[in-house]
Amino acid sequence: MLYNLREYHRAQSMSEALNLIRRKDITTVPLYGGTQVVGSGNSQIEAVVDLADLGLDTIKHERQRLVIGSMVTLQTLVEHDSLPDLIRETTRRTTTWNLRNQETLGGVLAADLTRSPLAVMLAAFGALLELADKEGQFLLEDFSPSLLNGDFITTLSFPLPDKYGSAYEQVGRTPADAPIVNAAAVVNLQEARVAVGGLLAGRIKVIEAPPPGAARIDTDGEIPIDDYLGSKDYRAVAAGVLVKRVLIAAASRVEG
Amino acid sequence: MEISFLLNGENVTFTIRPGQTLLAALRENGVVGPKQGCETGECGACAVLVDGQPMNSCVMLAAQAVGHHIETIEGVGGEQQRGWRGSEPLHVLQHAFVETGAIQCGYCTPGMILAAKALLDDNASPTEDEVREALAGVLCRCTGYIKPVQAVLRAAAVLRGEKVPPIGGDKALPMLPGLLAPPEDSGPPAMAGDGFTLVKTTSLPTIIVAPEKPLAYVGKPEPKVDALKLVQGNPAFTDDIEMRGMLVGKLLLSPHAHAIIRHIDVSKARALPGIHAVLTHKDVPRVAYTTAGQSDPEPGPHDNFSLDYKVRWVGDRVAAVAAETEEIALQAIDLIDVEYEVLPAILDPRDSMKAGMPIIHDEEDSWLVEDKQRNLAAMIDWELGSVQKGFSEADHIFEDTYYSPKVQQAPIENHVVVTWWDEDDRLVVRTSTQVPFHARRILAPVLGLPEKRIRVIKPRIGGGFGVKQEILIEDICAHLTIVTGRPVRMVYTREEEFAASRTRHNMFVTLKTGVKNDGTIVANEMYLLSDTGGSGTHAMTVAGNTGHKAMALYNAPNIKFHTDIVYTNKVPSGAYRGYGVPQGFWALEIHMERIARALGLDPIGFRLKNAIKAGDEHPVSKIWSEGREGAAETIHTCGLPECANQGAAAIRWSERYNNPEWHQVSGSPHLRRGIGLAMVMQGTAIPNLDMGAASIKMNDDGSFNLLVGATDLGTGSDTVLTQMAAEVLGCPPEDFITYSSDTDFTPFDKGAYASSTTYISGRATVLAAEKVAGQIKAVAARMFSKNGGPVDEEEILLSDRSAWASDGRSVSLREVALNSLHHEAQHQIMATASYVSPESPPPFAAQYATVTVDTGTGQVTVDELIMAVDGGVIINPVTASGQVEGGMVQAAGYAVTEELAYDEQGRVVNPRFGPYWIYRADDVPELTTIFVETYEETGPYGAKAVAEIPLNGAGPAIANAVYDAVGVWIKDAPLYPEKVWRALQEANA
Ligand code: FES
Ligand code: FES
Repeated sequence: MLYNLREYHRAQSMSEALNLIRRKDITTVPLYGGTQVVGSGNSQIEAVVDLADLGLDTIKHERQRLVIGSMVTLQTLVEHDSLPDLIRETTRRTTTWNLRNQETLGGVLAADLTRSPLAVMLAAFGALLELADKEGQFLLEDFSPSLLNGDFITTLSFPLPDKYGSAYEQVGRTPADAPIVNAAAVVNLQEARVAVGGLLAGRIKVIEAPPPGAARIDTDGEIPIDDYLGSKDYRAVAAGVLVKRVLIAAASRVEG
Repeated sequence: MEISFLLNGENVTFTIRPGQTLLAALRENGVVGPKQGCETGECGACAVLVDGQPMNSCVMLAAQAVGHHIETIEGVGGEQQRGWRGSEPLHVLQHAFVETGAIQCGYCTPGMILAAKALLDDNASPTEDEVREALAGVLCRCTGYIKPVQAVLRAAAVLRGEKVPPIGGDKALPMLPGLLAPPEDSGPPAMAGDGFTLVKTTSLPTIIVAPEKPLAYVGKPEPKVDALKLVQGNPAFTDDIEMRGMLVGKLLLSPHAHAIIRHIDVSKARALPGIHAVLTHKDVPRVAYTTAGQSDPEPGPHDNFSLDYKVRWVGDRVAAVAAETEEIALQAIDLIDVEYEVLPAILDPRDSMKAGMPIIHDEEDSWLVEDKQRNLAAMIDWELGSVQKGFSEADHIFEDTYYSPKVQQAPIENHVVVTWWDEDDRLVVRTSTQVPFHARRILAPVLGLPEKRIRVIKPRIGGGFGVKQEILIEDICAHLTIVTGRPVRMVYTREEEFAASRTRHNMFVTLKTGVKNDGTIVANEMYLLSDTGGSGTHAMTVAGNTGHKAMALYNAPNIKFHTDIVYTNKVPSGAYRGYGVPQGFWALEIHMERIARALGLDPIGFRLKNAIKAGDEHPVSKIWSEGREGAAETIHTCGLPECANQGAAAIRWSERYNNPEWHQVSGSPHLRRGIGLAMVMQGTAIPNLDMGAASIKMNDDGSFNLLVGATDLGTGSDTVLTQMAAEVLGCPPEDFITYSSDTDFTPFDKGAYASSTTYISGRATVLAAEKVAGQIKAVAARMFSKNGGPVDEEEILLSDRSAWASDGRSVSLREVALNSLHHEAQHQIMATASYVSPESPPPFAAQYATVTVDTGTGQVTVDELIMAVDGGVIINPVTASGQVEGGMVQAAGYAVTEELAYDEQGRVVNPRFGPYWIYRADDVPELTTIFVETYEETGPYGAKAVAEIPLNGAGPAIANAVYDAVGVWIKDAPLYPEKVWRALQEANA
C-alpha cells in the first residue's frame, strides 16, 4: 500500500501531467495503469498522476511502423489482430489475464523490463520509445527507467519489415514462469536482430549481427544478472543456446 | 476524499484515503467477497470485474474506480434461503463450483468465478486451454486446478443448453465388487460426460475396491457443507468482520539476521495522531513459550518471546503498533528508531554446531533446548537391530547425501487475527488457526490470563498446510488489545508470510544402505541435519517424523536413525503438510532408484520386495512416538502393491520405461522424456496422544447440530464428519448444521494436523452419532409401543429421516424430536464422544511422474503426475481426490520451482508469489488420482488418511524421471534449470 500517498490526479493534458510529476516538494509518479506503482508499496511516493485521460491508448500504423500508445493495455495488444503474432504471444506470456487488463505497455517498460517476454520481443523488432518531454527517440535496448525522472513514456513504435521471420524462446522453472533468460529474433533477407533478456541488470541486450554458433552471449563488461535463478555463467550459456534456436527458427520463417 | 462509482449495478459513494486500494475500500465498506492474498497483484484473490474484465483490486487505487462498473462475487448470484423471500438463483458457475468440488478452502473461489464469468460472457465454448489461461491469474494452493477447470467447462456446457452428467454417477465412480479389478486401461483422455467438453484430466478418482456394504452417504461425492457460503463470498473468514473502534496492528520486523536491540526510541511513533499503542520488549511480560500448536506437554523448545531484546532472523519482531488506519500504523513503524548491535549470523545449518559459532539462544530463560552452546535445538537417536552387523552382511553399500530446501506453505489467506474484549471482559481471539484449543492453552500464560478467560474462534480458514499450526500473531494482536482495550485486527502481508512466519525445515539427509545381491535390504541408516531457523518450533517432532515414516517403508532388520536439529539465523521452520516426511522420501526414493539401477533391478519389484506389508509390525512404532516411548503397532492394511500396479498401468510404465523411442520428442532433438516413480507412506494421527471429540444435538425439526473442535482448513473435514454422522443417523448431510470450531461451544479437538481428522475426529463423530441414534431409537420405541405393538429399540433402523420398526411402521425424526423436547419424558437428545487411537495406520501410495527435459538449458517440465493411494475407504471421493490433486501440485512445486532464496545478509530475496512461483492453472502438470481402497478395521467406515501423503512422492518421482530422461541425478531440490544443466555438463565432461 502507498501509505504516504496524499494526492491522486487524473491529468487532462501532457503539460499538466509533466508539471505535476516535476514538482520538487512532493514525490510524484505517473500511473500507467498502476499495478507496478501500487504494488510497490513505495513509501517515498506521495502523489500519483493517472495518465488515463491523455489519449495515449491508441495503436496506429504510420509509414511502415506500428505506433503504440503507452496507455494501451496488454490485453488490447493480445487481442489486436494487426500486431505480429509473436508480439501478441509474448504479451500474453508477460503476465496473467487479470493483470493484462490493468497493466499497460508503458507500465511494463517503466518497470524492470529485462525479463519481460514482450519487451525482449519488441527490442528484437527495433522498437523506439518516445517520452513526453525529452526530445528524440530511444531504442529500447538503450532505455533505462532512470531516463524517466520527471518524464513519462508516451509511445513506442517499431518497423514492420516487408518479409521477415521472428521467433521467441525462454527458459524458466515452468512453461509459464517469468523467464530466467529469454531471447527473441527478427530476421529478414538483409539482417538479423536478436534481443536477450535476463542477462544484463536493468537492460536488454541486442545483437545486430549475431555471430553464428556462439556458445555463450557475453555481457561485454556490463553488470550481469547473477541470482538464485541462475548464475551469470549459466545465463550466458543459456542465452547462447536460446539465441541459436531463435535465429534458426526465425530464419526458417522468413517469407519469400 | 469521496468517490462514486457503479458497484454491482448500483451507484455507491465511498469515503476513501488517497493511498487506499480498491480492495481495501471495498472491504472497509462491507464488500468482503474480494480477498487479500498479497499486495502485489500476483495471486488474484482480490479479483473484481472492471467493466466486465477481471482485474486485481489490490493493485488498483480506489480512486481509479471512478467511471467504471465494478462487479464482485456479491453481484454474481442471488441471495440464498432468505426466509419468505426465498432464494434467488445462484449463477451457473457457482453451481458448478459446488457440484464439482472445485472449492476447498474457498479463498480463491470468488476470484476464480469472476474470471470464469468474464471468460464465458465472451466465449460460450472455451477450450480447456482457454479456461486454464483465464484462471491462471488466480492462484489456488488447494485444488491443483482440475476441479475449478472442470467446473468452468461444465458451467459453459450448461449455459449452452447441453446436458451434463451428474457428478458421481456410476460412470464416474466405478464401484467394482469383490476382488481387485484389472488395471484400468489408461488410453485416451477421459470424457467427463455425454455432450460435454473434453477434458484431459479426470476429476473424479478411480476407486478399485468397493466398500463392504452399500452406504447412503459415506463414500459419496456429497457437496461440501460450507460450499454455499464460500461460493457466494459470504463473510466467512477471519478478516471478514468489522467492529466499532477496531484498530490495525502492524509489526516492525528486524532487518538483521542476528542482533541485540541496544536502544529503541518509540516517542515519535507514539506521538503520531491516530496511534494507540506502540509495544517493545520493555512493555510486555517476558514469557518463554513455543509457537508450535501441539498437545500438552508441548515437546518444546520453549524459546519464543512475544517481543525480545534480541532478534534472531530477518523478519523477527522488534515492535508492534496499533493505529486507527493501516497507513498510520505503517507511518508509525517508520518513526521507530532502533539501535542494533549486529552479531555474526549462521545461515548454513552445517555451521551451526561448529566450535566458535555465535550462540543463537544464549538467553537463560528459554527451556527444553537440547544444547544451547552448540545451537542444538533437539536431537534424536535410535537403532533397531545393528546396522553395523547389517552392513557387514551386505553385498553392496550405497551412501549419499540429499538436500531438500526451505519452502513456504503459502496458503492464499495469510495469517490473520482479530482480538477484542467481550462483554464479560473475556478476550476473544478470532483467528485463522488449525489449532484453536492449543492456541488457547498456549496463549494463556503469555497473556497472563487463565484459559477460561480466553475464547478462540476459528472461522473458515483460507488454507493452512501446517503454517497455521503455529500460534504466530495471536499473542501480539492480543497484547495490543490488552493495552488499548480496543478490538485489533492484524493481517500479515504476503512478504511477511514468506519472510517472517514459518517454513518447511530444510534438511540434509544422508542415507547409507546395505543390500544383498538379490536386492534384499539388510541395513538402512539415516543421518538427518535439520535446520529449524531462529526458533525450535516443531524441531524435534518434524525430524522425528522423518525417521518414523521414511525409515519404516523398507522394513529392514537393521535400521538406525540420528538427527540433529540446529538453529540458524533464518526464519523458523515449522509444520508443513507432510511434517518432515517429504524430506525423508525425497532422499530415500532417489536413493532406492539409484540402488535399483546400480544393481540392474526392476525399480518397482525392488521396492515391493523390501516394502512393509500387511501383518508386519511397524518397525519404528515401538521405539519412537513424538518424542515418547512408542508402542508396537501392526500394519493391518497395505494396498501398496495394488497402488504400484494401478499407477504403472495408468502411466503406461511397461510401454514407456526402457523404450528409447518414447524418450525422444519428435522434431525437438534437444528434448528428452523420462518416467519415474516413488513409493511412500505416511501415518494417520498420533497414537495415544491426539484426541478429538464431537457433540451432536437434535433440534425440533429433526435436524442436528454437529459441533466439532476439528478444524476444517479447507480440506473438507466438516463435510466428511457430517457424512459419517448422517450415515449413522439416517438423514442427509443437509440436515446437519456443522460448526467448527469455538473453544466456548465445541468440544476439544487437537486440531487439524497429522492426517488425523477423518480418523480421530471421525471416529469421535461416529461414536457420538451412535449414542444419539440410541437415544432416538429409545424415544421411537416408546412412540411405536404407545401406538401399536411393542418394539424392541435394538430392531429399529434409522433411514430416510425416519426411525423404522421391523414391522414397517415409522416415525419421522421430526416427530421423535418434538416428542422428546415437548411431549413426553422430555429431554434433550444429544451426546458427546471422544476418541484417542492406540494406532496410526499408515496410508500408502505409489507416485508416478513423466517429465520432459531440455538438454540445452536444463529446464524440466513435469508432464504428468499419477498417484495411486491406499487411504483406506474413501469417505468422500471428491474431497479426497481434491486433497491428492492439490497435494501433488504442492509437491511438484517443492521439487521444481519453490525455494526461499537468501542473500548473504540472511534476507529472503524472493518473498513474492512471482519470484517464488507456485504452479498456476496454465502450467500445472496433468494429474490423475487413483484410490485403491482397503478396509482399515480401526478407522471409521474403514478410513485411513489422504491429507498428507500426496506431498511425499512427486518430488523423488520427478527427480527419478529426470534421471530416466537425461541420465543425471539431481540430489538437491528444487530442480532449477541451472542445476540440471550443470549436472549434464559434468556428465558430458
Ligand atoms: S492479487 Fe490482489 S490480493 Fe493477491
Ligand atoms: S480452494 Fe483455492 S486457495 Fe483454497
